[in-house]
Amino acid sequence: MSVMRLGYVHVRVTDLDDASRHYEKTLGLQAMGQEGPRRYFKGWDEFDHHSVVIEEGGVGLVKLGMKVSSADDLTRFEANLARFGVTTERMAAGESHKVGEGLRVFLPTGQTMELYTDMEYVGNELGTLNPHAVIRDPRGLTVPRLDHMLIAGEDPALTERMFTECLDFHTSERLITDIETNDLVATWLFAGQTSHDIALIKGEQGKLHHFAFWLEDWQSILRAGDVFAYDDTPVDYGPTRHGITRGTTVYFFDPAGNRNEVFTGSYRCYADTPTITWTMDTFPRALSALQREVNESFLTVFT
Amino acid sequence: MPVMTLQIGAEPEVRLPVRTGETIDAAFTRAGYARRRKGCRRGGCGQCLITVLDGSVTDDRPVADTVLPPARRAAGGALACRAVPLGDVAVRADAGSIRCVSPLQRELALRELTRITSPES
Repeated sequence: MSVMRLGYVHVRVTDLDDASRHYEKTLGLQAMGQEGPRRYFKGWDEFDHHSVVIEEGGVGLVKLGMKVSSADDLTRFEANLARFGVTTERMAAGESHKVGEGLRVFLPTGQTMELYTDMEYVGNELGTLNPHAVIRDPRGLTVPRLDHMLIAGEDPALTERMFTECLDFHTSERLITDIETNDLVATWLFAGQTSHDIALIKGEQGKLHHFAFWLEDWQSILRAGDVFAYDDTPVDYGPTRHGITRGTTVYFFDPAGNRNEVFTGSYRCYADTPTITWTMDTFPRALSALQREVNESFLTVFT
Repeated sequence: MPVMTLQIGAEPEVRLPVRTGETIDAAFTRAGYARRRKGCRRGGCGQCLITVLDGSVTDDRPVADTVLPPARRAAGGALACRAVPLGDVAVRADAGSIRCVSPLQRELALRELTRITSPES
């Protein structure tokens, strides 16, 4: 499969300094510099220049980036997407800071996605010659990397087909109304071996639900909550375990109100892994296997 | 110390103390109230929208126009999670949007109000 991972999420924030403190001090990302009204950050275990971009002014998603193995893949994807009927445009190297040339895809759900092959290499914090195994001095959550995101739109089913038919994604889990009607409410899609790189939910066009960072274990999820208490980070939902994906999690908001998540556990997926289906009558347990009740802010806050 | 008069729907108005620099959300949370829709609490979702009927507020951080349109703001709209009263204020919230969840905290807030508003002896 040629899409390797979710490479970056670029969001608007109402106050650049407040948001920087959140991403650098609370999440523990490395600050990678500023260019215009944008600041760049990466996790300690990421080797490309950045995985988070925050831009001053407003709130919500600007765009997302997915890293692709080769230029041949981009050519193949461009043809697939043209046949499918999705609008794309070629992007030149440098249009996005530190990102090479690629293909910009305008998703049916309204978001802008950039497929690229190159980003400036900076190396992770441990190095590649006889490295240590951990970051010695944690800073806040000390997240190693960006993991996935969830976006909303009017037609998640069409967008799911775009990802699976054009970009080699597979579906790990789907949430439908019921077996008889089989209308799609939400879907979780993977390009690698994690249970999802991107998920789609039926809702307001173009909106962002959350973007998530990986943590190593449940203990780290608890520690995240402890750090949030120090930094007055508002908690949305959790710590808990999702029924969907089996992942353990806690959701919280950045200083502009964009929702973040830290996530771990879940399970490994391959191209032949059977898809899991959830029906809405079981939604409370799908959302939280532990609380087994609906959290209203989780369902209603989008930016 | 400012006094906030809070009108929730058609309920009798409640007068609560506001500490200098604290948001409307922080003031009524301290007084034992909670919003039914807790939202993001950082000005990004608009679920804490209230109307300022009297008095002035300022936002403690910028609020996006997409969340609080200028026309709504001009009509008295404010985000409870961002608005800091600059003096006494009267605010209105939709019926059922805020309720008392911690009665002892409300009692303590009302005692605080009595202390700050009673004449010095």
